[in-house]
Amino acid sequence: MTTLPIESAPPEALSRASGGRSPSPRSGRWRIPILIARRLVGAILSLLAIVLFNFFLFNVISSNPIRALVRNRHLDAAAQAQLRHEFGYDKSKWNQFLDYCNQLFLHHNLGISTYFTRPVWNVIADRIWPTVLLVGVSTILSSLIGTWIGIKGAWERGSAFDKISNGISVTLYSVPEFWLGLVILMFLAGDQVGLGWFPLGGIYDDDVNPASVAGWINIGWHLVLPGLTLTLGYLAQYQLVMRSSMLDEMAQDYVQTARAKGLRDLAVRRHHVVPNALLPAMTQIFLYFGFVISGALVVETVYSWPGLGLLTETAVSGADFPLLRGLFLLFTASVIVFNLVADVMLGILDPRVREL
Amino acid sequence: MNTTPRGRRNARRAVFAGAAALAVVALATPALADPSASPSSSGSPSASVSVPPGSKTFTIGILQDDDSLNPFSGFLVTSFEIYADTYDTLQNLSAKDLSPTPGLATKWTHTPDGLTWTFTIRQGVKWSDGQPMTADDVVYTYNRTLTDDTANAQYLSSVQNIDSVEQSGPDTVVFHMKAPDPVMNYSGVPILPKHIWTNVSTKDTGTFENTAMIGTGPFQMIQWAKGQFIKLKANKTYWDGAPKIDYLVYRVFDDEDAEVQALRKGEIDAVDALSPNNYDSLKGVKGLTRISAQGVGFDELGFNTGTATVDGAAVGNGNPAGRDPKFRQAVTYAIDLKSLTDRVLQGHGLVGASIMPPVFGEWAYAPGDGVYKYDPVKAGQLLDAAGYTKAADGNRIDPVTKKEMNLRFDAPNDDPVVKQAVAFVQGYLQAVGIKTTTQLVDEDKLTDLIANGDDDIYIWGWSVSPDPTFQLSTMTCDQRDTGTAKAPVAGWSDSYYCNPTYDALYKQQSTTIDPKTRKPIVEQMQQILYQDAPYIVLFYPDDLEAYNSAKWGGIVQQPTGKGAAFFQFGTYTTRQVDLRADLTANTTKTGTNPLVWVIVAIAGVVIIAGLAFGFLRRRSTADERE
Repeated sequence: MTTLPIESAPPEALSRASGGRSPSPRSGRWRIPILIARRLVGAILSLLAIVLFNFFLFNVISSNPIRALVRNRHLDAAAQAQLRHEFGYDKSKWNQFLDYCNQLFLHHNLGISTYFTRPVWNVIADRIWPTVLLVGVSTILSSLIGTWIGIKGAWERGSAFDKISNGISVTLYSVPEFWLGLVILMFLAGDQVGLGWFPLGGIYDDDVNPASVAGWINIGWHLVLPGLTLTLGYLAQYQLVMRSSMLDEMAQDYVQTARAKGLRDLAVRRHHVVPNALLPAMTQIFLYFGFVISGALVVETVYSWPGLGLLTETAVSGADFPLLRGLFLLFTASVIVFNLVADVMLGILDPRVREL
Repeated sequence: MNTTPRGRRNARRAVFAGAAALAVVALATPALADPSASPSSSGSPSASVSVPPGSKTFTIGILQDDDSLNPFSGFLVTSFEIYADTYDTLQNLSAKDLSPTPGLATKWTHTPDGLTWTFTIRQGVKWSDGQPMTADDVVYTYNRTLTDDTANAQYLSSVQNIDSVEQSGPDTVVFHMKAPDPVMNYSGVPILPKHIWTNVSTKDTGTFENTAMIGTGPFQMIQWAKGQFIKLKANKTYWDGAPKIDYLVYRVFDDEDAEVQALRKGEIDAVDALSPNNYDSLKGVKGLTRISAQGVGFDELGFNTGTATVDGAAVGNGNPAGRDPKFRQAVTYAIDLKSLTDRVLQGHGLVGASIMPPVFGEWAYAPGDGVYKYDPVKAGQLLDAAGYTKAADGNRIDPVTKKEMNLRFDAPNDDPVVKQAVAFVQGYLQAVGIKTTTQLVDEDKLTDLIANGDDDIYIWGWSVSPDPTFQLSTMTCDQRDTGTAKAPVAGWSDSYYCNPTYDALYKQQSTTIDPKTRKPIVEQMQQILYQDAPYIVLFYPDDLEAYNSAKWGGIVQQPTGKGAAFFQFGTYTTRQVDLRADLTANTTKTGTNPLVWVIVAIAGVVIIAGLAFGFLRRRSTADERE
């Protein structure tokens, strides 16, 4: 998941390359721009590879693309042949790919969704903001809270806080999201056995304007339960990474030195251990951000939250290949972009990475 | 459970769509054109809707969103429900017994040969944008449906026998027919406004978004929040009686348990298409009324009676037993339909007989007593007599190949009812020595297996429309595979039944307009199917519904006393439903829960406190450092 082609090259080769290109003593000033440029080229190459793969993947798995178009309406052979021709399915695969690239790069056109009979991009645009809102908020909350618990737990390793927080987050991580979502829904949204405080689904009510202040509050009210479910579900992955990263750093000699200098406990933790331990955690957080866009199918289903996860499910069950292709392109592009951001951030924060 | 759109079961009223046509050719061209070319696109979130206080909103929960507001592109049950709310057709089907009644046509007559039909168009009806609806709009709509490939594919079974249509007076429209067709008594084409659609080119027919849905129906589209809800406003000047409610909302749930909770809590007012478990869980709940309505569908055990193309070229490798009527009849005795219906549908359905469900009254077929009864001993004897003798291990031997039989038993994998039925039927068959291997696949794959003849027996379902012609056509020779034996293309037939006597009767009934003459022919056709048994119709599942009867009255069942209250052929419940007399409009809408404001306030306090705390702590550390 994390490895881009350029990263898999042996580090010596890369360092030699960069060393060769900038031999002057001032090279330090150019290190970050060079790093960014190199990562950027890698990201673009990955993206192109994905476009290619994406196109041929759906060509392999869709045995009869015409069927999705006609949707059980009866068509005779001549009509099917004509459709095949209209959509260019009678051209060679390579020519179909060139057409696809031409539409994608020159016209920014992802085609027409066969299920919704609307342009793919319009269909996706309708569903992006619910996903970004729900998964984005949950990812930010769970990464902040998870990291904080990880820091505190590691610092007080073996304490009651550490044991309890570890237990809870691992439990939340291992319960199925569907079950967690349904339990929270029944107790906080349903009023049969629960409190009935929150709505049972959707993003906003039909009698509010989502672009008004009352509408935002209404959206926030609808967001609480799915957001809570996802935040709880995501918590452990951040907490555990931060905790183990902290423990690694706490065993380092410089911590001993810092303590020997007589620094207060809090200062050692804040100014010495945490900044170093944050580096691997940061990478991970940014990688997870890449997956924000692909939504959270299970939680979206339980709370009828019409994001990209549910849209993907509709596209799969409806054999809507133009839409699926568009979604996959978006998902992979988002992972690549955040991977790039993580790489560059790490390069800026950690001088050791720049040397590689 | 949530999105399984393609099933024949889900096609309910979409079966107006019929035989060969260039279905979505118009879709092809815009794929290469500028996407912004399609008129009136809609952004999200949608425009604001102000609801005056005290208005009455009736909310129906649905498990599947709309797919298109364009009546020439939509495919799903939800979409056809919205078309029925916003558009009118020339005729309606009555709430009482589904018989044709006047719609936008006040009366219609035909010549004795059935080749010329004259319709009188209702005067004084207005489109939702205020323009008058005239006979010209009717002529335009039918002409477009006849000449536009995409439109034609969508409503083919309503227009396939129309040769031309013309206006012959200010309020008169005349149809000239290629052949007499009883469907002219209930023509399912929604009448569209010429002044809107004339601006939509034929290449955009399939992709026109039709956001405004200008129509003459009892409701008007005001908001489609995609994936969330569809909101309609009552047309208070509707010619056939204005709706008593002010707004009609369809709210999408992707999880049925959440939907049921929302009904119990009062967030929604009605639900349709419940699972038997959820329906039973609502038993005795105060304030709710349940309706186990006779459904419009059936599930069948189908046989591969000889996959072939329409030219008669054999396709695939179906077991020869399926082609043997004696074998199929013996199997009919082996299955206990009563017990199957009780166990699989938990009693919410009727025992199967033929392809027109009992809800359609006069078209349904009742075989009477004692034609086929559950009798496994007799089934065994019939199989023995037909040469399907038992091998040493008890499994039967195929008389043609002399090998032990092991039938491939396929079914769709997205329907829990079908899954259970498969398990029970496999048991019944094994009990008489017929070995089967089950395979649950998605509907695309199932269509492939059947079209290629790679199947022996299967369980699948149909939704049936009120006029029997389409359903009867699925058992004709013409609906076998098109294409070639090497590259077959599925027709509507899945049993590949082909019987010249049946086909002759089919032609006869499809041109017989008088229902009294037509009925015995339809009955005779179903009797042939029943005896020949290409299908063993297992059961007719009920449509399980529930609504908030503490709050709402005026619910109408169609047909009276036994049919569906929601998702009807027409808009009876949605126009009649009203708050109970003892309630006032002000109690209907709860609005934003006051708790929201408490939570907002608490969140605000926490954030401010957090910031203040962080600031103070920072300062104190800075002080200490110095």
